[in-house]
Amino acid sequence: MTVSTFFAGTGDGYAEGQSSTYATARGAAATANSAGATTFVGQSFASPTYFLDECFEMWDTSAIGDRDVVNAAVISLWGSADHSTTDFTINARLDAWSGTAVTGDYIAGASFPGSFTLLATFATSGWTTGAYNDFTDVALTGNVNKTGNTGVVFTSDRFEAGTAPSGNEYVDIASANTAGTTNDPKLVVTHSPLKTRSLRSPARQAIVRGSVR
Amino acid sequence: MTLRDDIAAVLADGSLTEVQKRRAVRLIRNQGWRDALPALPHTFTVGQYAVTVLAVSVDADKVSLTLSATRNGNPLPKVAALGPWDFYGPPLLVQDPAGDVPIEIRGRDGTLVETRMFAERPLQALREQVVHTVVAALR
Repeated sequence: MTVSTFFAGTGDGYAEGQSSTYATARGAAATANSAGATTFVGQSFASPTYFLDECFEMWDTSAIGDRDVVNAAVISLWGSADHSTTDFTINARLDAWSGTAVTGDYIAGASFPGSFTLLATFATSGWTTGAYNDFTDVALTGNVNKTGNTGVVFTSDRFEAGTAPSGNEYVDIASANTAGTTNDPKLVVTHSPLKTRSLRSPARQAIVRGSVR
Repeated sequence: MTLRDDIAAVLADGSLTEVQKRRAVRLIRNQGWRDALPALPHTFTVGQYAVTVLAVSVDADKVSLTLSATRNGNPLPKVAALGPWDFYGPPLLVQDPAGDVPIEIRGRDGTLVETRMFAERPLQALREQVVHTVVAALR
């Protein structure tokens, strides 16, 4: 087996819907940021404006290769702050986003779940700041891209459900740094070579040769 | 000259493509971990875990470690069985209030919340990351 640890690309960040109308903010992003040291996921309301954030992370997992089987995978995000006065569940969903977070990466709340496979979850009641938060696997193991990038969008389950916030329900996440910090988003993948059956026995070899009728 | 200086030089090199820059930065980070390790085997303790680095190798993609570990003095045979432990472009900076690398933390509206200080310490970064990764993989 091999345990491979991948660190997120530095184009990670967030896209944010902003409007005094919840449906409008939930429908399209007004801004995005891939340059900051922090990214965000969740929702908030500061009269008169709703702020709805989706976080984007991408890991280049192509080194695993097609010949390996993924046995386990864990996403870990570093808690930079906790503003989840109202707790929510962070949903990590498969998403081939652009690689540098822009407004066009924003996914309208009404589009969930759609084709965005749920990979892993984290309940913010257990969110820790100043440490990694390890997500619980749902279908991550089967969806790590062994030959390319594994792109993930992080959303709030309340955002997906269309439940408007009355205050703060979001968390801050440390984003990837060029020199790399021990707070960078990471993906730990345990994998092993695909096992193939041996064709040593005379009977099996005869079958392969086509001499058995 | 720090590893951050090396990375900055790569990023400023106009003759390199973005892909070449990413590869060069990754290699610097990989080599940073290898070069920071003292003579092997090297044992360190973080919390209840004692980890021994038995071997290290580097290529353009990753730094690869062979590890053994104990928890509260009890061997963790799965750590050796799961290896090698590969890190692709591992981090070089650790948070340290006395460090010389400021990173600004800003709120969603762009206002400065705080400035956190980091220091370039590849060996400490290796220790922190290895232990977290071992714990995550053993879950």
